[in-house]
Amino acid sequence: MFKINSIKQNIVIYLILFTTIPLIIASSITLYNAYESKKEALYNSHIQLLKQVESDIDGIIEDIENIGFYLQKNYQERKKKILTGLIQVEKNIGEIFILDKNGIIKDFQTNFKSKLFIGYDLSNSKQFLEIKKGKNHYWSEVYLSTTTNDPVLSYSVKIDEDNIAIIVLDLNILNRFAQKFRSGDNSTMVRIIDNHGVFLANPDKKEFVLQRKSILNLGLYKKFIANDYKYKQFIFQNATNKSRSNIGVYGVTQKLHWYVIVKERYEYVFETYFNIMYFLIMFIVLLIILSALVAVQLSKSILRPLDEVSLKMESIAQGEYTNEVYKNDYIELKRLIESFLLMQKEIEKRENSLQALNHNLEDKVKEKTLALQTLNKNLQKKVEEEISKNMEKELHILESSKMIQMGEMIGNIAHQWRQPLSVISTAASGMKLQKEYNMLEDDKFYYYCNSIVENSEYLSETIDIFRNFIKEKKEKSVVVIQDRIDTSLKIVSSTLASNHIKLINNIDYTKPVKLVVVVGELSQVIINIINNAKDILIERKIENPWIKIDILHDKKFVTIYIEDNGGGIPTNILPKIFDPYFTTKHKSQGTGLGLHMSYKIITESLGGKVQVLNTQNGALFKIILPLDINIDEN
Amino acid sequence: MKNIKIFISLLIACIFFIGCNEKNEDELKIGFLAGLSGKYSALGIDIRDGFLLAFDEIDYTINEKKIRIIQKDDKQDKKEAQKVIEYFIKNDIKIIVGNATSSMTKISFDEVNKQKEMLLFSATASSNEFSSKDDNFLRTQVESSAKRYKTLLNYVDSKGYEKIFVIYDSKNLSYANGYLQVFQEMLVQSGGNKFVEAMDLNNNYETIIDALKTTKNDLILIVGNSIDSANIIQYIRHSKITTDILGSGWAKTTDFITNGGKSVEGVVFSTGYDDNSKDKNFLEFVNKFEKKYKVKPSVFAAQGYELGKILIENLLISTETKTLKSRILQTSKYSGLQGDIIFDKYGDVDRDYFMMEVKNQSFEKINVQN
Repeated sequence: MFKINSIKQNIVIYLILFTTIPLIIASSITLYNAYESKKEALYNSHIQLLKQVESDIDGIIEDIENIGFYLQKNYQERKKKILTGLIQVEKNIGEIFILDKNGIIKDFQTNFKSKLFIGYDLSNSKQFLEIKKGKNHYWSEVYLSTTTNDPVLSYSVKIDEDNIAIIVLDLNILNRFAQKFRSGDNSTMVRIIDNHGVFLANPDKKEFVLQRKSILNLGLYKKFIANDYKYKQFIFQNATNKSRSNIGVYGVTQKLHWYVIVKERYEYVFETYFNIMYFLIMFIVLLIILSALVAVQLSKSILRPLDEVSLKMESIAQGEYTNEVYKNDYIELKRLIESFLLMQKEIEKRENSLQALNHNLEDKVKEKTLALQTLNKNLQKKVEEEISKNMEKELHILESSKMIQMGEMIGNIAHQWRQPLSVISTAASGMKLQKEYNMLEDDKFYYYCNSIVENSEYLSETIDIFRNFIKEKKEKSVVVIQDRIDTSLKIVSSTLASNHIKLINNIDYTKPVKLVVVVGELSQVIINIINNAKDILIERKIENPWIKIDILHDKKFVTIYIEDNGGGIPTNILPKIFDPYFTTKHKSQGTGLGLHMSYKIITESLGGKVQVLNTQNGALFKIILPLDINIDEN
Repeated sequence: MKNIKIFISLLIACIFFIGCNEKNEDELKIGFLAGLSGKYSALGIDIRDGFLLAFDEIDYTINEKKIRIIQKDDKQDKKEAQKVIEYFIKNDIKIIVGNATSSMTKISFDEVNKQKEMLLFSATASSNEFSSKDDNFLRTQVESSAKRYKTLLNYVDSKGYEKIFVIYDSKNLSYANGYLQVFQEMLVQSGGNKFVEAMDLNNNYETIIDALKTTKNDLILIVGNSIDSANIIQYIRHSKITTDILGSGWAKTTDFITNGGKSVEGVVFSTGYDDNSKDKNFLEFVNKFEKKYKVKPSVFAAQGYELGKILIENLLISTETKTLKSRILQTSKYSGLQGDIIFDKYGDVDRDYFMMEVKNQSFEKINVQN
């Protein structure tokens, strides 16, 4: 189905789309490019700062290591003085301890109020144990200073065989260092984290350092540091304020493999960008609203005359014609309206001529209808007549068929009776003659009488057979097919015998086949086919003529075969032999109804099939009848 | 026209939606407070690291709900602790884990019990001030009770100590009071003597040493944190005082040995946790802790972890906090790192206590004859 659209809506939508979409696309591309450029510029400045911070941190570490080196060279000579001097000069260190080979403090200098004392045992501290194990120097992890109670780092160095120096790095120094690097919003940009993930410097959140907070649980570590995003730009959520994000990079220092993060607040660095984006979006929204208003106005001025034309058309469609003149400033619409008015006049003209034509047409239609009605009546009458004729014809066929049947029957009776009547007549005349000559002896008398009685009985029997055949009603009953064929053969046997036609009966009587049929109908078919065969054999004067009959059956069908040696049926007439009134015989001999009736009985009444084909001897009729399975079971 | 209006409205709505698309994640906030900086931080940081490890294992997610743990430092200062607990109340955080010490827990305990749905869990607070109360407080630490000190009493008795000199930290008075009162009562009840002296650890060390030298004593009991205890013991030994020393469970961290040097050798503790336990759960925990933090966990880290696991087990059933306490107490028995943790109806736990001694820079279990 087609969707019906409104021109007005389409104009408004297209106008909005055509004004805003290019703007949205152009703005998006511009904004995207601006964003990417900003990110890239930010990345470059972050990387630059990161490298600088890494280098500075390595510098601080190197300074402390140099102090260790300096102590190795000079401690033995200047001892106490050197410690005092170093604490005063080197701002990166908070404390220096000199331990003896057993880990006991033998000398120390500190910038803090300390509870430590000469003789304090640091033999269990890792700073001492690592050197004792054989290292020349060792950088500790973050630990809680017993002096300041704050987290510190220390550098242990073996001065000589008896002395170990522990130089404590005050983490405030790292914090102060990191504090120098600030973003435009005054937030600090640098974070320093040791290789175990513990904060060493976080100028904005100094408590993170004091609390030895680890980044291992933070998304920043899990997402980026653990996945080696080293020197790559990434955006991460603020650990304390989830609504804020940071953008930055991280690197690893060369000396102690500390993580250095350089970052800025994402919302701040992209603030200008977001403002531009906001104004652009607002501008686009405004443009959409303006476009919509303009489109609505435009559609109104353009479409009002169209609406009027449309209304006018609707009124014409409803049969109202008025000749109002429309005025419009648009050339196209003016033309349209003029064309419309012209069309209106034309329509009116055509309407009138159409009406006239319509009247004529109506009259013609009426005439034609009348003629058709008459024709129809005649046709109906003819059809009825034809039906009546057909029925009569059918009746005639039936009557003819019956008459033929009767004629054939009488012929058969005549043949059947001729022989016994001759015997009776001979016996009676023999007895009469011998009686006249007084030669009739008792033995002869009984012989003739017996002969007369036997033949009379035979005649009587024959009458019964014929009567039964004729009397049989059109009621279906279970019959043994062999018996029915046998009855039929008895009827035709005499006729065949008198014409010297041999009846070859191959029927197997040992396996009776039961069938539900109208009894007389099956006999009629068999007699009919045999009579036809007989007529052909006689007509063609066949030597040693014979008719062969046989039956075969399986579980579903029984087939009756009737074959003769009459030379077969010409192939050109083979398809027509079951047609009514088709005959090859002389008019006196056949009506052409016998095989037609047989065909109808087999196909319609008995529900079977009949086939005819030529064998090397002659014609072979195959009557195929369906068996009712239930009969045998019953 | 109707369609145009809908189109324009949708367009504007889309723009605003994109502009204001801020994820409102469904998360459960858990407040954690302890002394995380300064000399008291050894305990707090250990508990924190153990507690966080339990949540790290489930990636801070329970039934698709994000868990956010808000860490706060009470600095072992009452005002700070008060501020933090007020912050938690203001931010409608219903589950609070803390504090590390009994004195700080007391502040939170009083405030939390004023709230309807708020629950306070402590892994280490042992003061008997919180015992046997149907309140909003649960703990996995054994309270200071007569039962807890039975082994200690047997130990003192077996060693024949009669004159106990006490050095305590007045900044954790709730713990010190609970510890000392119950222990002294038990000593007296069993025919022993009251403490010969009790001095504040925050005194000048010289003053303490003078008192030790002038007072007859055969056992020094120090109730303080690991660093203070290590420092004073160093000073005691440096001052040639060889009296046996008994430490409190509070000090039993690795910092104590690190800072104590050889001076802390022979110091004994009464404790419910064995650092050398071969319990499968404990060994697995030690393994995970070392892998993450690259250091050996203390017993307090283990206690923090256990508390975290119990919370997770119950939050997995439901993150609803109203019935959390009843759910925890209903199950009552939990598999801990060193045996079962069994809550009583008030949310207090019971655990066997034994003695440990510092030997060759580590804590070793010692047998005490009854």
